[in-house]
Amino acid sequence: MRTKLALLFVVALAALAGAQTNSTPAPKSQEIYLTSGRGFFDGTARVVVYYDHVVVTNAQGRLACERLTIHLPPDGAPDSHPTNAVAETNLDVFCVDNKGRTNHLVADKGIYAYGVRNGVTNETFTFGPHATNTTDEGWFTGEPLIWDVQKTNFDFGSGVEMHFKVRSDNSTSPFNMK
Amino acid sequence: MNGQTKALCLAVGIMCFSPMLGGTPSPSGQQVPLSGPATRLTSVEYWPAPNDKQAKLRLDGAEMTPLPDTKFEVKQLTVHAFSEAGKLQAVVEAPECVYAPLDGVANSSGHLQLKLMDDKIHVEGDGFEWQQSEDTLAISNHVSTVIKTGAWKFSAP
Repeated sequence: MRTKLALLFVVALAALAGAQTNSTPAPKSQEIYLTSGRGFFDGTARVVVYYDHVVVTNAQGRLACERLTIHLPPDGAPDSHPTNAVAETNLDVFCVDNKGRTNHLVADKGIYAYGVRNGVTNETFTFGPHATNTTDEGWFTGEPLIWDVQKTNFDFGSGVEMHFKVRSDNSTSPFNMK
Repeated sequence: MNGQTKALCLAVGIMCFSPMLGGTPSPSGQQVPLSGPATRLTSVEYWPAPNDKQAKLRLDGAEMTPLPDTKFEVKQLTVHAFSEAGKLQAVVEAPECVYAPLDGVANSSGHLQLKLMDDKIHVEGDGFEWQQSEDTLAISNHVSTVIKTGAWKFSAP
């Protein structure tokens, strides 16, 4: 089939492998598995859509939703990185972060956005409505919850609610309660 | 019908009718009746100039049987897609499908395999429809993808 469609597959599936900047060191090789009921690939609109019980897994985590839509930059764009991806309906993410902490995030929707302006990369995941992230240390909500990939931190919208366990030694309390 | 569609129709026309014509492409291939199955078929579509000697698509089929309404049943379809530089980019395999060259549509209720980047990305599914003029591919059941990559970075929450 046409090369254009094949390239669309490549770029789209690379997007599923997560946000990758050129400056980051190459992590060890692994496999990513994606299953869904249906898939639709539009080379003209440059959109890839997976439908029905979409599950993406790798060694570090699992993402499930009912629809995953990936938008790609126009033909000939200098950066082939996907500009936008949307995971919709019953979004459920379970993952282990770089520090070995487990996270379980649920939301109605998750939006990945990527762009470079004036040499600065903006790369975020926005979760909501009804976004809740549960970690070993507690759980928190926000409308929306925004994960900034470059800054590696969360930004919160309105409706923020946080519940954390206070450790017995207080040494790692997120509230610095001493 | 755009240029690419015409090119592919012509390519399929050649693929369909070359066994009858001794391999000679017919500019009016769509008009030539094909009464029986043909075997070991190959068709090549080339990139436009200046890379017009470089193959863009190579289609192979073990057997092709004409159906009503200018459709063809193709067995053991394999499609190789190449870049303009000649690098293999994709391999598509389908045990069987129905191809309508005038509509630019291939579909099947059967299995589809798609291998990309030296099989670093492997897609499979059951039931598909490829709309050549729309440049779309729909896989209707059991879509499964395996990505072998060293590019995974997960710093998300």
